Amino acid sequence: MQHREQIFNDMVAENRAGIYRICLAYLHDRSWADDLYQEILLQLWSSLDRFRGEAKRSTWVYRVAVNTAITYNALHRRSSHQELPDTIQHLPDDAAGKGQEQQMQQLYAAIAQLAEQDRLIISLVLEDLSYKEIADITGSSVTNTGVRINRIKARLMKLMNPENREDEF
Amino acid sequence: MNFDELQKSWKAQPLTVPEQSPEAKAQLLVRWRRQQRTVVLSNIGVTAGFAVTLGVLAWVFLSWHTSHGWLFSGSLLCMALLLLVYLWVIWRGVVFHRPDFSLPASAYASRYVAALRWRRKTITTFVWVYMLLLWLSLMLYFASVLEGTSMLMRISAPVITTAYMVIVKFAIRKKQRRQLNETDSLIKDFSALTTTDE
Repeated sequence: MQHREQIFNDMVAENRAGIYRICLAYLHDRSWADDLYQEILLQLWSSLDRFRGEAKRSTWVYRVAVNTAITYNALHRRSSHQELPDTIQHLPDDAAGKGQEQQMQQLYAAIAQLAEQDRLIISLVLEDLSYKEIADITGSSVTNTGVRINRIKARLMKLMNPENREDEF
Repeated sequence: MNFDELQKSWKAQPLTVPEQSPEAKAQLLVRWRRQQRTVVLSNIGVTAGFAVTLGVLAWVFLSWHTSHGWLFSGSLLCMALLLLVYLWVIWRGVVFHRPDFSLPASAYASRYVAALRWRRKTITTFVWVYMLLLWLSLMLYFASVLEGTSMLMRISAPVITTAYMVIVKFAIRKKQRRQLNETDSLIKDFSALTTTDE
């Protein structure tokens, strides 16, 4: 039991920020993200016995996180999420410094305009997971995942840079 | 702005991961589910057992109530009522819905605490009251059906029944203590969750 708790605590300590960022990107609402985060931890704890070390620990954690997020959203689909603005507020280029937080807001708003599955995939890309890891998590082939990621990136960059600089990534 | 810059900002963003120990909450909810599963399984067993008992009581009543007086019918009725009330008591300690994560923890935690307190009261008080009343009903039943039989019979039946009930009570003492400890621990942790979540 002690051993199990230790593994769980290590897993959470290593990945908590990443998991939470994915929750935020997926639901774009802090209180919902908090709840989803708790649910993911609960699922991690419940399914810890099924972790056999075949995949990287972080890959397994993200797989549980992604599956839980999809289930969670399906269960709460009828609930009212905060409506996102139709247009994204773009900052002038000189608004650096303080602008980082607003840039993140802008990024979250752009992610929120993506399809549900794409939000999760782009979060995994932003977390710097390899295409292979993301393919493992989503259960797709590496080639398909790569194509899909490129398409999502292009869409995201278009949303972030409306003046058509999507080729920059 | 290109994607690499976005990625760097993404990982460097200041983040406030929920303050309240989420690991503890996860473990607490798992413990709650486990406890509820145990209670439900035990309740199903008790309900099945009681259903058979109620059937037997009904059969005894229908077969012999004409040849016995009001004490016979009354004691059987008391036993049947006791079984039904006890079933209501044990099922009241079960919460059937899963935690609704769209609500703050305080919303479901207080409901769980109420159910756990009821469960605690069941173990510490209701079981005793139930056993005492059941014993009384059985004694009345014996008084009715053993009327006119030998002294040995009239004494041994109540004594054996009483001894059996005492032995059962002692046999489940350890299990009840364990259930109480777990219930108390859950009450304490859910109460703390309610406080920290406000």
